[in-house]
Amino acid sequence: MSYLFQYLPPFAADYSGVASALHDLGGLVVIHDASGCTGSFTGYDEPRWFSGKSSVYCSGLREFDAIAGNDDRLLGNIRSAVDARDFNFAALIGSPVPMLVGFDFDGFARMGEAELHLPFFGFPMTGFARYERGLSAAFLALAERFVEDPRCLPVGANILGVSPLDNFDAKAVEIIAAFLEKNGFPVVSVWGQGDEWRSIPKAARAKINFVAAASALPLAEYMENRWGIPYVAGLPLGAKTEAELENRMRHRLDARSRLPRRGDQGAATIFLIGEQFRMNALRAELLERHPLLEAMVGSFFAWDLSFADEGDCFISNEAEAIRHLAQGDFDLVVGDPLLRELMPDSSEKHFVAEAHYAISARLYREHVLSRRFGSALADFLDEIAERAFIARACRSERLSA
Amino acid sequence: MRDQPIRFLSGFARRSMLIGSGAPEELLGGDASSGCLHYCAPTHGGWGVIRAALLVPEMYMLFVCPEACGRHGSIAACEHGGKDRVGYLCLEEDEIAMGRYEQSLRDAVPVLMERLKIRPRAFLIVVSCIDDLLGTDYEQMLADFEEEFRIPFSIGRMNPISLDGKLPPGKRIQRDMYDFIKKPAERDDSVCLLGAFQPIDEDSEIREFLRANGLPSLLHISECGNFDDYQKLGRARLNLVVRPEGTEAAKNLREKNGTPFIFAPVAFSESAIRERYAKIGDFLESPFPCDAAIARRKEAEKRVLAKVGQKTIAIDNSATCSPFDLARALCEAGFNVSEIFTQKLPAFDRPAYNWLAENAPGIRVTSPEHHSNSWLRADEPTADIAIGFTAAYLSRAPGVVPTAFDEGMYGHHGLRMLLGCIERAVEGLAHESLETMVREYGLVV
Repeated sequence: MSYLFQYLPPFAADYSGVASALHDLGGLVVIHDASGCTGSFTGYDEPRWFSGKSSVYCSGLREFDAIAGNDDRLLGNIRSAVDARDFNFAALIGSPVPMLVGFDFDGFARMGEAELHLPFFGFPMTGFARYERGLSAAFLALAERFVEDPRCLPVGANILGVSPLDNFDAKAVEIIAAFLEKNGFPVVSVWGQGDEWRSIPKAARAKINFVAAASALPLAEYMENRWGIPYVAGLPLGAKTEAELENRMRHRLDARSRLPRRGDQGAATIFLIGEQFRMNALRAELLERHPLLEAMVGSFFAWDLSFADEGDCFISNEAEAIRHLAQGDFDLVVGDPLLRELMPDSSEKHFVAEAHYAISARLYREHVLSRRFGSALADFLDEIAERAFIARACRSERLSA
Repeated sequence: MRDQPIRFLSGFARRSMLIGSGAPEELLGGDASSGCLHYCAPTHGGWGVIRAALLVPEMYMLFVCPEACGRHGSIAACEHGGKDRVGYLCLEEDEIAMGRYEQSLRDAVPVLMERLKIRPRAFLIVVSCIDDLLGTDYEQMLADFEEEFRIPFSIGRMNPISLDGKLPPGKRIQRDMYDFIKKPAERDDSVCLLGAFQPIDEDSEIREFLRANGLPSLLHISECGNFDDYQKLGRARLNLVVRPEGTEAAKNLREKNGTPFIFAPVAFSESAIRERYAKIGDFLESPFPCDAAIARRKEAEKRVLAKVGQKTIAIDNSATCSPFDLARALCEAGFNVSEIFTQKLPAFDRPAYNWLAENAPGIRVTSPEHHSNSWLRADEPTADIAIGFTAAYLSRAPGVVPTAFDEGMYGHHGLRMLLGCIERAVEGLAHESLETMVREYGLVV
């Protein structure tokens, strides 16, 4: 069923997820659209675009092309670019119009590969799904096609899923890499950003996969099934999450073996809305530092039940979020600044902003994830706790009055 | 130079050429555009459908489309203060496949009307590219909504799939924006500006001329405080279209309301301005006296040229709809124009193109959308001053004139405004980074 967005912007789309995953890998990436979809990606969803030199293009789809096919023109234009420069691969990404006319992405990719002698992917994205589906599809396609069977003893770790759409910046990736290094896992490859094309084929040499966002779980599972590489999932935001992740890595614990705890003291209740792993990590740190709190996690995006606790939930759209916030009896909500308007009482005191690029795009581009690691985290956790306790006190006063 | 366009099968569009060194169609226009993958510079965009339509006061817009299609416009609405006036009905694949698209819309509009804190005075339902292929008939639905809610409803289209057609989105949205204007009971002494996104500067000689001819008000939609003010635009004796985006709106208002229009797009060279003013003068049966404006212009040209000297200047077609005429004006004044970034050559800018081909053959014309821009963008500046964000990005010019869409500029005074911006760019007063400038402007896809 269709759904209304009255307060929130529609979210980053599946094609932006694919283009984001491929952005740094030296490929020729074409979004098969008229211009708006590519413009959405380059102008709104991709913070690296302004200073980058990546080759992400619009196919320039027009009505006649959609009706008559005209695939030769598209292939000819791709050929023209491929003839002018070396690319590691080519990818054609779908959008709503090709979906509507039933464009055959697999067939086109096969034709493109045969004609251009270049690895060629077809991603039948539709614009009806969200970015995490595109990220997952691109990661899997790359792994299936390019990762080589290991011929040496495993060493190090892959970092999976660090997309700018989940606010990962280069510094955040460095912090994760340093954490892994400290624990004896030098980084083998990074998936989501970074100039890592040459390391992608070596990814199966890793001893462990570090999954930084839920969108990379399908990739981690694929690599576990195919090469037996175990994975840990989470973010080393502070001492608590670092210790937990270290323990898991050291003892090869099943990534899903222990549920995150929502807390049960209930002195104040917090709802954290955002990328599931990021919010799980934030919750773990928050409850460690402020054990009287109770915190639940929700997300509009990639959601895995085995990483959720009681009260956590996937939220499909704006109306569901409004309902959940109204019924949830939360003292405080943490989430993208644009979510504030969904609150039953949209005043500042019940809300702490934590931007998510897949929601608010370039509006809060300075809200990169690296500012939440290490010592900077404590202030943020204290702010959340203080605001939650004040909000609870105000509510109690109101109720008693 | 060939008269007939060259049709490209694929892959043969050129990125760049010296002006006049080949057929312009190899680089400019729809055929060249279809001959390459499109590079989307970070400065790509403009007013977009949403920012333009938000100019209609007290109008609510509901986009009916896949979730993805609404994203860029919704972020733009946040940036431009229009968030509360725009909503999205996000369709699912199965609704489209099963033909339940129309019913979803019939269900959603009453829900939304109920929820809106401020009741709109007009309602624009905007559909996207996929609707071009579905061919939905909205007539009865709009009539039903109008009867139920007692406000006008209309259909707008955000359909870049029709960019090569007769009614591309930029023109269509302006037609739809002004379509809510009813036939006036009487005319007043005003002229309505169409096509422009901002009013013409108060000091422009055109205002003086219109005043002298009994037309004291040069109205612009952005100055309408409410829907009633907006309706007053319909009383204008004349619609003056200064950018091509306004032509379909003007034709529609002539047909619907009987308002005559003049298409006199922004120009910069003396000869082109003379031609535009002659049209306006003919309509008013009064010759346009330009001597004083020309004298002021010459003064400004001299002053700025003394500061700029032979620094190279790059121009793009996001700064103005007449980049070739701007280049001509600057060349005639002694400036050193080195490059023009555009993928279009509209008929009204063709005389300037021809003049430049003959008189300034060293100017390079480069398509900003050609795929090779992603790797051929130079690491070092290729111009000293850039007029327009795209020229600034692609040339890496240290001096940036952050002018866009001819905003405020018209006639000789318009050139003086631009020269003032060039002066500031050279003096280093525009010291913000290009990214900051682009961000502050808020380009909309």
